[in-house]
Amino acid sequence: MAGIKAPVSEQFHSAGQRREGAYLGMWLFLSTEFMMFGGLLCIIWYYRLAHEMQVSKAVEHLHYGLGGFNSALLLTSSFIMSLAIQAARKAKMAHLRSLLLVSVGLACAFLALKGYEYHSEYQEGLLPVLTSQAPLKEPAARLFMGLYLISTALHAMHILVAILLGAGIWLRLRLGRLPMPERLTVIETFAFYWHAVDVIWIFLFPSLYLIGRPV
Amino acid sequence: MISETSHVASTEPSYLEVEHGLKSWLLTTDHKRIAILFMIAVTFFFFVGSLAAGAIRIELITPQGDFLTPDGYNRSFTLHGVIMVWFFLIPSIPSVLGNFLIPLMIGAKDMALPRMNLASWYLLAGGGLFTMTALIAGGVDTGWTFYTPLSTMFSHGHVVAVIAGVFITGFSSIFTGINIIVTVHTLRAPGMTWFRLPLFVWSLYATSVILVLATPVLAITLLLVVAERFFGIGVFDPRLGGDPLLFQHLFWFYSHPAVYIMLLPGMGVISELVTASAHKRIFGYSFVAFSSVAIAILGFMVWGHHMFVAGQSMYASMLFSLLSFLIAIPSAIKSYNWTATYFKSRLTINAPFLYTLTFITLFLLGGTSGLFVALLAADVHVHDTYFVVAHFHYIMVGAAVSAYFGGLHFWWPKITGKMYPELWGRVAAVTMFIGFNLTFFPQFILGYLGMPRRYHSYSPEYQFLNDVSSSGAAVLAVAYALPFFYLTWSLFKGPQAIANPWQAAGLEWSVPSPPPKHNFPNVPVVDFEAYDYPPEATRGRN
Amino acid sequence: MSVSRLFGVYLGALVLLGVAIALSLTGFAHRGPVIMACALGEAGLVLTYFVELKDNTSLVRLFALGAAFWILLLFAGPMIDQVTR
Repeated sequence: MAGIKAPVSEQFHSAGQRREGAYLGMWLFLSTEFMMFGGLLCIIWYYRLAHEMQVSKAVEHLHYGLGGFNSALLLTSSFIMSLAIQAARKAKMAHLRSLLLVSVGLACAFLALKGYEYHSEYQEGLLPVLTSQAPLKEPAARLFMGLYLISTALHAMHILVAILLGAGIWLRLRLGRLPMPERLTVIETFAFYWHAVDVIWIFLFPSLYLIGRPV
Repeated sequence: MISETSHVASTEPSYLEVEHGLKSWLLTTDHKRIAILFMIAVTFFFFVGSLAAGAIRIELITPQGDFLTPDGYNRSFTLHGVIMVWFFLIPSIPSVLGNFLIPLMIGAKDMALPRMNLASWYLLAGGGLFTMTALIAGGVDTGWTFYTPLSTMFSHGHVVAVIAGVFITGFSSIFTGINIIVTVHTLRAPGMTWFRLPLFVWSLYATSVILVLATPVLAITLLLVVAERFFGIGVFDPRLGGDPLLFQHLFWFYSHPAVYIMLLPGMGVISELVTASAHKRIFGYSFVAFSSVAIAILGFMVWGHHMFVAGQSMYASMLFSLLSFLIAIPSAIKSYNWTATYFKSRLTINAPFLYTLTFITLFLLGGTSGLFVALLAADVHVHDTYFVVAHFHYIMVGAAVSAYFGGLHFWWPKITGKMYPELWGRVAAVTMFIGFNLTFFPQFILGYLGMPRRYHSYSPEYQFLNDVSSSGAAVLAVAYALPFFYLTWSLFKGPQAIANPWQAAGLEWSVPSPPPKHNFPNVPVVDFEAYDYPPEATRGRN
Repeated sequence: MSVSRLFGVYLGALVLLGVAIALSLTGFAHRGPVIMACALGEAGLVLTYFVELKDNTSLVRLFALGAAFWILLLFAGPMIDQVTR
């Protein structure tokens, strides 16, 4: 918050204490994200149990190849981010900036592919509200597509937030406002968030695309 | 370590005097000022929620629906529930008393995340104003529980707007919870081990765990209602195979723990007030501490008891019923321990004590009535009747609100540096006890006799008890209004308070009233137990 | 954490992803649980090595475990109801 003059770090006695506070705080925040998506996953699995056959019909139409490639993109981006942390710890600023940029770039690619995927689903008439969902005869299959749309859209929003935060950090690095390793906590807590968004997709992808796919 | 009253000479200005002007309040990061900001906000919301309650009780004076239209009545009880739950009860003790006291109680200079603290306030104020505007502009008729398919398909109210406001405010809860947990882990003074913490801190820690883990589930549930209503993506739509009971599972997964968010902090306050009025250490410290944790954990396992008659499977219902009985145990342990603390104590009978007594009595009644509703067969009879309404008001209002008022009085000298008028304090406390029981005890009987809840008209045979209840509500209104007036009066005309007016134990009493901005000039070293009252303070013990 | 260790973890996660996708295309009777086990494995790798849970204090690990437990609770309730109706 701009304009607040009161010193923020006075309550901490040491940098170590402050760092632990940041880690704990970030983990607690990430728990809220996991609980939120956990609720979504709960709903997905509940309906899978309740309408197994009908949901299969919807899963059949989902593009597992595209989704799988996107999963790989996200894993790669997570890997690159972990390299960025190593660079930050060694104060290798140029490496840090480029790795961060690559990571963000891969996430952008994820979003682009997701957009393309939505577009194809729109054209195939699978999406609720926007299309008639004609290829899906079973009501629960249509419901599942709605769930798919909501889950992946919410996840995509989190990716967007991560991209924006990452771009912001890159800019601050570029402007020399984040000296390393003094401000390491900023990179580390940001990376936690990045990995958390990846972990959420790791569970979302099979729950939506892979399980119950008719052969 | 009971602080002597005089040696704390204040050379530093208090946190109230150190800066002036609106900006110094609206951009503050001082946990004490933020607590006051929260106090103003929750007082305002309490007032609005009470107006809605007033409308309900006026309507129910006569059996016919003659004061409000049926739809207007639905909107009134919805407004009452939404405002009271999310904008008063949940933030009241954690964000007002918790924010003010936790750093003081653990020997810290501030909360761990001061800017997050301020953000939490803005989210509450903003979300609350947004929701209230939507509620007053027409509101919503679904009840605070937003059950589908009424909320998603059939309601004509401003469902999306109200939900958006609640969603925003959820982040306020989460931020407060995160702040409390991180603060308690990282900022305890040297020597302040977990088992030397005041029990208030234990309670708020347990509450914060619930805040952090439960609120996101509400967030996704409400998002899905909005998705269905606003975007037409039907996740709970029965025509698509959606299950309305699934909504209830997700809603109550949050909302049952939410009632413990509303209750646990009150229990924490009572632990402090009991020891202070008894001048004696608490009976069974670790049992009370672990009970707070047990309530927080068990509270996540009982939500199905709201759905016994909604179509939930019999086996799941039996499991939830059993767990609901189990959760009575830690609550009972606390109640017994508080009572045992009073045994052979040197009692101080003042306003905080009277609020404490109110809490213990009304919690006992409310909690016992909880056993009735936890019992499957009995719940079939009383579900959706006034019996349930009475049950939760005994806990939420009789207990939790009394604890808030008791805590407000007890720590008023520390927060403001002024003493409130003791006589009026006692008058208000006694009036509250009388008014509360007059209002809500008849509702147990009404419910048992079969009067349904959320109905704006009723069968004539229920009229007498309804009239008793409505008269009680008028008395209760007076009891709540009184403190507003005399506490405000005390700010201008009240006598100056000393550092430790109650001769109570606790680090917060070792600093001046009101404290300086950074609380402690030097980091205190803690080598004493919590509540280490001198043995000679108790009567009959050596 | 060495770069080669991180790269190994990354490859491991990719392999698990590949196995999961491949399995979903077969008719293997128990492919459901195995696919989710792969997902669990991937998440475990990311959390242990990328997020460096194994290096954190035991408190942070307790928080992580707590979050996992609570998610399980959230799943258990509605499922038990659904299955026993």
